[in-house]
Amino acid sequence: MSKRRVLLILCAVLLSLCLSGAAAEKSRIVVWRVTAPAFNTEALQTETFGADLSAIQEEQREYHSRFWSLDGEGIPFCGISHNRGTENMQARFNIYRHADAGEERTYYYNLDEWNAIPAESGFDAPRATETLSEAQGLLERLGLVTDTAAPAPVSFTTLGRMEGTTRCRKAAYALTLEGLPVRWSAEILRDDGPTRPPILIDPCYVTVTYSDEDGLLMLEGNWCSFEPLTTASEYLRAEDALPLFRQAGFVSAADDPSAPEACWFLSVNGQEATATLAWRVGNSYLSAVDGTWLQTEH
Amino acid sequence: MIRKICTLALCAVMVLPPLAMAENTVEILPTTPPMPRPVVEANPYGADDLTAYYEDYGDEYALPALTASERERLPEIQRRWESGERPESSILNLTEQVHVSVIQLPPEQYEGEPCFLLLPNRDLTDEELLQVVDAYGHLGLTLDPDALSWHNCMRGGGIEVGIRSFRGDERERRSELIGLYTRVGLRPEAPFTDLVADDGVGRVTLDEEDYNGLDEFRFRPARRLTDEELLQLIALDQGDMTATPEELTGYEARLRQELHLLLGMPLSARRGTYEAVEPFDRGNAYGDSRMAYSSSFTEVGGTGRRWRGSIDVATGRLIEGSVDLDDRYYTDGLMVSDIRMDPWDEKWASIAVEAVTAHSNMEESGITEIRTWSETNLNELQGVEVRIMTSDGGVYRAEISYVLEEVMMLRYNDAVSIAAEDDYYAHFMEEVPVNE
Repeated sequence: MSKRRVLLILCAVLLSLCLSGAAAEKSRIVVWRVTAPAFNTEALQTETFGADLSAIQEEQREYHSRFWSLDGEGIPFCGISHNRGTENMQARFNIYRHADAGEERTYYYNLDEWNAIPAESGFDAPRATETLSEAQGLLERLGLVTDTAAPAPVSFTTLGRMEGTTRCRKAAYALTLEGLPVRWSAEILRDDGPTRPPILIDPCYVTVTYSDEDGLLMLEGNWCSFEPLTTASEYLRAEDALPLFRQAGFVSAADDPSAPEACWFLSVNGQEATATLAWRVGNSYLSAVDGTWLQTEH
Repeated sequence: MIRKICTLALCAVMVLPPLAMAENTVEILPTTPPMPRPVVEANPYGADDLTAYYEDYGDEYALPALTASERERLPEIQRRWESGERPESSILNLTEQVHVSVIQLPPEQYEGEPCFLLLPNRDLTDEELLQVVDAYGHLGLTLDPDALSWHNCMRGGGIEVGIRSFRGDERERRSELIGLYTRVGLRPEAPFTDLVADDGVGRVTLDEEDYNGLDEFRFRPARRLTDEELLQLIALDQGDMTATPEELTGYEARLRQELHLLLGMPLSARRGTYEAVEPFDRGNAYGDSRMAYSSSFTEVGGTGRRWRGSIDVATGRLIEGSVDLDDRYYTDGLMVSDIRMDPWDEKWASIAVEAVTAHSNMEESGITEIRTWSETNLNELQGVEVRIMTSDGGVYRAEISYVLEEVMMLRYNDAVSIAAEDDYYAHFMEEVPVNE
């Protein structure tokens, strides 16, 4: 083969690669399929019981498809339930742990909203960074962080305003895909209305709570996994979506400089649950894929 | 000739009767028109049947039936009664502080039921079971466990109010009569009587521990209640009015003014049925025992906003009040996404202040402090409560929805009532045993 011919072929290959790369840069995943999540169950157990797992026993309970405890009675325990919603696409998981598991408790914790200490809450609060870092590490060990999906912090709250309760710190997380929040459609949340399966009645949030005295106190959450379904190179941009929201009458929210919000709209197509790239203002969602209304405010 | 005559006669005898018969055709005449097929309509005032709601309910102390233990002991108890044993006391028509009772009913007013059995949230003792058998016996009846139902039995306090709720026009007439009772001084001709058998309407007071905190059970017959009966029930509820009609009118005017100033209520808002003058006992531990006038109002026209409020009758000042700015939050089947956000984000403060200044005469200069207090939920909507403290010690509480980023409900508390409420929650755990 002549050198000229070889060079020509090489150029063609290079050009092809360049063009492919350019095309790849333009296209992105615009629809994900919801799949059952995977957990590092060993990490779940270790966080609950410590390094020595020889004494734990597993059983199945009403709200846990896999439940681990030391003696089947009370804390500490942890578990996973894969039967949240339908089609087993969502798992609920939790850790309940007391430092003092004896008959005489040394303290009482209350994690309800009226026990919050406002002055010590928020991302600027004294122990927020430390707590969020600790919780993030825990969630990574549990397997909640992948290349595309990850928990993102939503809030930090210090609890203990009520007399007789122990001070605790609670970090809350939401699931994000490629850095964007996943918003559940109203329809997919309801199992008593005009809905179609699959139904995922809880959005994917996780809370991690630490007692000031005794470390990890409680972890609760719902989680899903996702796999790419559709890619596209053309999709609606924010500057194109905003006029549509204004045109539809969502004026007050559209005046918000942060509107619209880029997100994933989780819904069903009659066969499977999917998360679609969308723009949100209030309770209304516009598909970024084809510009159709996915959910409107009323 | 004779032969001819006989022959003719014979022929006549043979022919004429058939001819006569042919003429004497019987025609069946209609006597009564065809009866229409009777349509059995459900009695609109019949007892509430909660079978569908509690079909799979597993708590045998909440269903209108004997427990397994009681069923097992009943035959022996029945035999003992039949052999002459009697309980120490009778529970037939026992109407006060009832642990167990058999209430005689006028069957024609209660869909054929002769009596009603009230059972506690625990097993009956043998003595109590004997009392039940004895009460049935006095009525000439035998207790049949299989015949117990929502129509003739209540167990444990699960049924809230009574055999049935107000139906049809009873609610409307009752609303009118309440106004006449409180504002015009209309009174029933005769007082309410607890005994059902005398007029078909009655009540019993219950031992709250045996009935899960329920303190009263009322009997309403399976027929339309008369105005007089409704008025008797209103008198029972209202008790001795602690205010004259003139005083109530004055209190209403004062409450309207306060709600107008502090929560932007229009002067034309329509007062609702409910109004009361009673001790404002929120946070009794804090010592707040002021007498308060309370009522509610609905916007006429506009968006139908609703206000509620209580004033101190001594000072005329608002103790607490609220307005639903967006009532979607308690709409059944509300279709919104469940979004959680950072309750400590500063943007909620701006939204709260905007709502307060827009819906009251409060100016920003009167605000001394703004603070996000806690997360909250309004029915199915997650959100955040922001508190705005004012120079007179009062507090506005804005309940903001995360997903809609709007104030759904705005509340106002004066300095004493907010301190009492916070103090109540601060010491809430003192009454709860320390356990998991």
